[in-house]
Amino acid sequence: MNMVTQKETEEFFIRLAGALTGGLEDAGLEGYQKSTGMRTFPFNQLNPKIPFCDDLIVGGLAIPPWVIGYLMEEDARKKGDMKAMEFGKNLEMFGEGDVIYALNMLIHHELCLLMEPQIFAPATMVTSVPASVPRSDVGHKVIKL
Amino acid sequence: MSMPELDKEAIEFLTRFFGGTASALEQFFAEWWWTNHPEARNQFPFTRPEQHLPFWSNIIIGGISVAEALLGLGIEEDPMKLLERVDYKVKEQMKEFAKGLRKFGEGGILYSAPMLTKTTIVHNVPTPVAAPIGQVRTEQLLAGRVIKL
Repeated sequence: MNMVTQKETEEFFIRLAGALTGGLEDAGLEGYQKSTGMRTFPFNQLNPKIPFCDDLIVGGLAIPPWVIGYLMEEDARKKGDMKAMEFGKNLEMFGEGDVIYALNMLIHHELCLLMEPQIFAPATMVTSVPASVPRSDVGHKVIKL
Repeated sequence: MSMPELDKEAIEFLTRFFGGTASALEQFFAEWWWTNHPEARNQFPFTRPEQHLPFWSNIIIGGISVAEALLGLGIEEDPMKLLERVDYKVKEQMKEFAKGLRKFGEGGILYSAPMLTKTTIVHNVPTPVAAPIGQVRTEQLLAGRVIKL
């Protein structure tokens, strides 16, 4: 008899789908920031010691499916609606995967900011802009008309 | 939901969560090393298998999580029947440990798979190149006049 059931495998993939959703939200926001060079909201920090707003948004978006799924499951359990209960449980697991990715991503960013805020720059960020690429925001002065 | 069931789910969630935290800490350590040891740059594991892929260090972090999950799964399933000769009590304890290890590894995968996806996507997004002299970008035109210093 297999110890790891088909159900557990399905549950893992639902969680992975949730985590990948968080990763894609994060990639979308960071990719947009990289392509536009935008420094205004949501690509700014509320405080130099806390992560960027776009990362906080990704973290915040992970929590509603988790909480809604849990509440939906509990409500459906009381009503005896098995279909809604199953949906709620799946939604909860989807949110759980997203929370596991997003909160750990925030922990990682926070550690980077707390350890060496002045000189620490994650490898992914530094190498993404090679020195040979001219920067559009250096050597220019923009006068508001 | 009964309390023991809720407790069990909470413990399982925390095991997965800390598996993800372990991967995040490994990534932080690799980046800390990259920042503080300039001589290690452009050397394994701070190289890429292919120019469009993430650093080896990040891929290794994902690999460690997969190895943890597979090791846990291997002990739990015991396909080679290696635990047959072991005492029943010890066998049960080992299976319990393996289940935890599998969930810990699962948490690591839940962090590292999206992290690798994100790193790959962001790495391949083209950076804006400065407009040639005499040609200004639309948003700069909207913002005001650009003077080359």
